[in-house]
Amino acid sequence: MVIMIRKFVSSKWMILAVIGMALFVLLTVSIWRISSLAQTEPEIAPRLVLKLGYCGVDMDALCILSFGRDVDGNTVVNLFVPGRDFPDFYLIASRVTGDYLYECSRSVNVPTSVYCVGSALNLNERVEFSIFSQEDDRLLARGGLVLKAFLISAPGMETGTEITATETATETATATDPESGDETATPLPTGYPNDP
Amino acid sequence: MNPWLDGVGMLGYYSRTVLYLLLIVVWGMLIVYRFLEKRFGGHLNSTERLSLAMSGWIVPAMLWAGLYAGGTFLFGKAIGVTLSILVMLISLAFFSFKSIHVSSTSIALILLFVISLVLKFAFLKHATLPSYFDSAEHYRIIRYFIEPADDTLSSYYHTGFHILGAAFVSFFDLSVLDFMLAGGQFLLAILPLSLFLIVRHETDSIAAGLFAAVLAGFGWHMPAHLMNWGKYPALLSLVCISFVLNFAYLLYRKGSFKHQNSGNHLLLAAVVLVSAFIHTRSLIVYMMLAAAYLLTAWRTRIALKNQSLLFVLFVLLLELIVLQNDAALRTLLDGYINKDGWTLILLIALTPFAMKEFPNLTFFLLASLSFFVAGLFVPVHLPTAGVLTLLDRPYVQMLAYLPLSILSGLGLAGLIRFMQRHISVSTMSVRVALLVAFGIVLAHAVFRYDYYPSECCQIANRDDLALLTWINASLPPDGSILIAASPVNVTPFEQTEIHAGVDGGIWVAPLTSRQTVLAWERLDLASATVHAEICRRRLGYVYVGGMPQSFSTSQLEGNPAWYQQVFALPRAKLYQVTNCQ
Repeated sequence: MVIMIRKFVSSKWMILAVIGMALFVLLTVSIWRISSLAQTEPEIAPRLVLKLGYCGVDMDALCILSFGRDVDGNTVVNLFVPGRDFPDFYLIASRVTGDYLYECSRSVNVPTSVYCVGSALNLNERVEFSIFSQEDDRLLARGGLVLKAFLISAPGMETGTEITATETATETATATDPESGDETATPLPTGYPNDP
Repeated sequence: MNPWLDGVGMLGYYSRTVLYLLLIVVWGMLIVYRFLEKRFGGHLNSTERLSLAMSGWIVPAMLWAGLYAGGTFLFGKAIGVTLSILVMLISLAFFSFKSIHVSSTSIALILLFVISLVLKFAFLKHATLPSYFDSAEHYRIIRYFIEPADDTLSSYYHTGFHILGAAFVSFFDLSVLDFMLAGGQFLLAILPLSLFLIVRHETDSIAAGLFAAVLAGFGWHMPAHLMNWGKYPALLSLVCISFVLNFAYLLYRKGSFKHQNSGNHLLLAAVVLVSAFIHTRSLIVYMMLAAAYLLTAWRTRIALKNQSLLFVLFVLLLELIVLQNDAALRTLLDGYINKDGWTLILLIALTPFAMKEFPNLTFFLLASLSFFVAGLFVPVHLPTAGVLTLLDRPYVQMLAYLPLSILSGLGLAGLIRFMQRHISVSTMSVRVALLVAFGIVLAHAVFRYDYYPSECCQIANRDDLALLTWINASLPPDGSILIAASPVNVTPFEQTEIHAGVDGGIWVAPLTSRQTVLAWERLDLASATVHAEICRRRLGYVYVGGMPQSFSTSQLEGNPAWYQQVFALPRAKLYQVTNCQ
């Protein structure tokens, strides 16, 4: 018994014990993280209706990245979809004038990228978006938004703040379309730059 | 943002790819481990064999890729797969699992790999597509080797990496993007661990060996920053370079270079060839390492040993001063000073102890670094590529972490020896010194190390992904798209500018198979002349990404008679060219 205790308090065993405890903590946190991410998968929690809102900096759940338009004036809704196994879906926009179907297309190369196209939406209009599974028309997610501007990325993407589904876009999001290729913009350093 | 939690999440997302990578790598490691056991016997302990196997797996992996690719090309995929599985199983039949001895140090190395893997995968949380413009080309070439129907590919390079990628993707039926993204981070996690061997063997200090490995993994912005540049073949070539360096060191220590030992020499030559197949510039690196070795051997015979060490340090400092005055090259030094200041200071503090206690290896490392930097100034005229240099700035910037990490490990061991020899210190004092050294690296890893993609180089965003999906579904297959480009300078000798894509448009050709044309100069799209030229070249569309150097939306929007917007998201737009006469 004494020998066992001496062996245990020797530096080698102490180090192993500390490492083992640290690993146990990390493992527990990881398992918690994986299970919490799994909650965003409707396959695993079939009765859970996800909350749909604007994306923040940390994209873990289904969220809206941006709004745009196509050549026919339709509204394009760009979404982030968590996980490869998220079912194919379609979008219904519930407006004052009725419900409108948006057809959704998923990127073959990056399964977390989906965009949906449907009838044009109006500025300052409150819209409730519902996402339904294409396979069995099951409600997967729902969220209400007031559209303050088009062609602006989700506010949280720039400011790093979390935006909930019911929040309205802030005034900063109504700024003009971020100008790409601005003549006065500082050009990127050429040839494999370091961090800016 | 929490790198650990993000890494765990991303490991879950890429779990299938990671599992297959582990399969190939662990198989390769077992083969190499057995080989080292037979060749070096008691000269290496189990942890050193494990450490070397962590870079040596590349040889069996490349042989497997070649066998699979050859079998598939000649006889079809079914035969290729069968052959590969047979070879893997037969090779394992010769392996005795009883010979594996797992020491506590081996467990520490494996744990370090696991922790490193989780943290490196955090990068993928915000990586939309592989970074920078190189990645798109690597994607195209890998796809070409899988499906050679793409006749728009006129040339390819770094063949070894692309064949390995194609074999892996084809064999396991994976996505090329997954292979690139997950494979890159996997290599970053396993690569630093092979440095344990050379430092441990030279210093007889496990702590110094682990220190070098930890520093290589988290102390410098390289080699991780390579993934911001999309330099996948260069990263794979680092695995080979690491193995060659360690293996050659072992042969030197065993005295193999003095005696005829064709088996070991043949293997060394084979690895060098594999390395060249992956990245031809690695041949230049080996020549420089060989030159540094010869200089080191000559130094042992001269009287002015200390002076020669100071001289090589002086030469290196002189080179760095010249480097700092060159616009194209100063980025190399800035990268290490701005990003890795703490670890640089630690290195500078430890270097005198390395010079004192391990002068030969220190001289070799400093001489190697001097040769690497000197290679930036030696022009080479190639008929197809114009003026290049022996090594380019990104390659040297990538390589530098190797000698710096080894030198730091030697310095730490030297400090411990110095303390034990010249100062009466207790074991506790030595442990405190070790704790301080590791603590500085840990602090750097927590407060300074960047686990996520750099803003410099993520030229594609999620709006680009949506637009690419739309292009695939909506644009005619023969649609031709103009994409923004910018000149790229990496050497001080470049006269003809190489143009490269600057935004998500670079991914149109690889992901949608539509033809793209790089902007031939900085184009004023509001100009009638430019519109006429676009029409003359029969370019049907203009792609506008979300980068500062993308085309100007205002120029396009201001000329609705020439350009009609067909798809628009905040950071990705496509305009159709109209009114071509």
